[in-house]
Amino acid sequence: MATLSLRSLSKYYGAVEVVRGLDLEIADRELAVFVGPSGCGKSTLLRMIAGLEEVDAGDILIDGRSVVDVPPADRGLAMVFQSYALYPHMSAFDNLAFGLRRAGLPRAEIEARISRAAALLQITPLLPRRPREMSGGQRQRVAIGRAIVREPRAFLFDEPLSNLDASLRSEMRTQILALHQRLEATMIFVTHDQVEAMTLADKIVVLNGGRIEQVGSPMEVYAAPRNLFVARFIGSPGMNLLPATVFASTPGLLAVDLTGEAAASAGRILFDRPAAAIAAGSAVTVGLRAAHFAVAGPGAPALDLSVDLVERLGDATHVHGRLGGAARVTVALEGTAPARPGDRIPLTLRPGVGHLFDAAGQAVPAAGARLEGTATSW
Amino acid sequence: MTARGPGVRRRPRAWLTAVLRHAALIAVAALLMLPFYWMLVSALKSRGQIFARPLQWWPDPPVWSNLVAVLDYPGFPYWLLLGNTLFYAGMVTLGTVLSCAAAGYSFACLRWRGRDTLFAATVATLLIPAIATFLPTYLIWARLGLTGTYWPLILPAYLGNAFFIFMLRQFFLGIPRELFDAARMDGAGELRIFLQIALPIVRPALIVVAVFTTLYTWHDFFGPLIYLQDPADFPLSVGLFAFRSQRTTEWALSMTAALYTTLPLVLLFALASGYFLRGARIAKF
Repeated sequence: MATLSLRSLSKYYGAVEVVRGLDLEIADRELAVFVGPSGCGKSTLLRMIAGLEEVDAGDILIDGRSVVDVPPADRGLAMVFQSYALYPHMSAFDNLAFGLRRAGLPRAEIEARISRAAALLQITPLLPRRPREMSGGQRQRVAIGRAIVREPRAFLFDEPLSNLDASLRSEMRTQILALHQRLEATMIFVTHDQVEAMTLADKIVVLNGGRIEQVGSPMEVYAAPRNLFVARFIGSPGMNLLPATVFASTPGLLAVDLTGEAAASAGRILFDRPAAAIAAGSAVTVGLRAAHFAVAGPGAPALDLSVDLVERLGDATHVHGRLGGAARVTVALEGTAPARPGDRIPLTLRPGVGHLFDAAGQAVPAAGARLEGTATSW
Repeated sequence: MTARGPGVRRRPRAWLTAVLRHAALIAVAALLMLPFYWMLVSALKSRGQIFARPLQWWPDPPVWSNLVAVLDYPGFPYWLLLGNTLFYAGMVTLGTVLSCAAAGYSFACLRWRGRDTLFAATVATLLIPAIATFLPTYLIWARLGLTGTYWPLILPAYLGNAFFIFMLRQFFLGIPRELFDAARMDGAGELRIFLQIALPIVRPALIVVAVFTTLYTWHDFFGPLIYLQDPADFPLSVGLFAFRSQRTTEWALSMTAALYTTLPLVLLFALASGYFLRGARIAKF
């Protein structure tokens, strides 16, 4: 297997810089997921690693060796494509064998490799069939088989689950995870689906506009988003982002007032032990995930939620509504909460939750947020 | 009951529509088949039956000996002419398919400077009537001293045909780019991608090109008439003129020879009809 390093990697389409000086290290046997919105450059980046796109600046190293001038087939990588890219006029067997024949492997070795991969992916009965005689899931497994038989140093997956329906997608996701554990292979997986990224990744690379916004484990990226973009993109439902103004800043405590429409709700939120002092009057953004809320007890400081819409998921209830009449938020309540459209629910914050972002959209780490109670004196 | 009612009422109407539709199709098909039928029955008639009034729709008696006599007719060495035709059509078809596939692939799938300009120029040549360039083209071949040979008839086919290049380009454009990327990851070079990935995928279109080219070349009369001089080089289309002389025309034998000229094409179409119809469907002809 392989380590992979990207050094100041750039790519231009005409005058547009689609990949902007990226630096990244992917460790041996790691499953790295490139995630980001459409057009963020994640597929281009993967294709550059594969050798299918030229590198305009920077370097790509596999096991410490530069591969920028090495043809795709000689990089020791295998790729699984979004549309499967199976050769339609060949049987599954011939699809798997095509690359091996090109590499000049003896027939017995080709058959042995295909037989092993087919058994692993349970596609042996599909081997004589052509792609048009298979379902989407079967084609996907054959496409993965084509990558496996090459015994590559690293696997590249370019949105391979996008064309599958929801249940099949979930099943294939599990299979890819199992495959990763079994093959102990370095894998790079591209997706625009943050759920896929969270469930698959050892390391998430969040991309936006050709830049890396954050790199980390799924829980690091989820629990400590570095900026507003990551906060917005990672997590489902998306993080509630509420504009606020710093009311007071003392060592160990930062008080912010929700601004705009949300201010009418309750008002003041206190952040314990913020990493940086922010001057009073500065504009900030308070980030609260749906699961950060809980129903407030009687007499406790509360944010006032007007319920618009209720989604019951069985084990949780997603309540969509407005704080103070206008700021839209989504709140996840445990179990089957008896909320209905038109209800007003007093909300409090769970201990140790909440995110704070400065005016530039960068995170200001803090120990947690709470609503102002009577105990606080300024 | 109410659900069945409209269905029951509709059934006779649907039946009537089907009958009318089929009747119309049969009538049109019969009309189109009529010249072929007339050639077939005329091939089995005597000279008297050819000119008989009223028209004889079936020869009585059929002159079966025509089928053999035409093969011995002086000036119509059938097997030699058939060989020439097969050579001519085969070489032109091969050249057209190869050159148009290569050009179409290049215009669709390869990146090179001036590609789109050259493609536009290629398509623009469709606007020039072939007859307008015939004389200068003839003069070039004459200067080269190649008139009286098959070179002027065959060589241009290896330089492409604008319409077929355009058509095949559209087919190649329809191939997902990821297939080519997958082949590159599998270690295939550009030539192998063209030969082993792209060409098999557009095979129905290649067969359409081959069938149309063969049909056109098989029936081509003007080109061979102008460029060929030795009757031993003639294809069947020109050889058929042996039955016409200044004083008379052997209509029955001429029809028999025409039948023999057409039969190989009928055979070819029967063999390739599946591919041809599939290709034509994909090509939206």
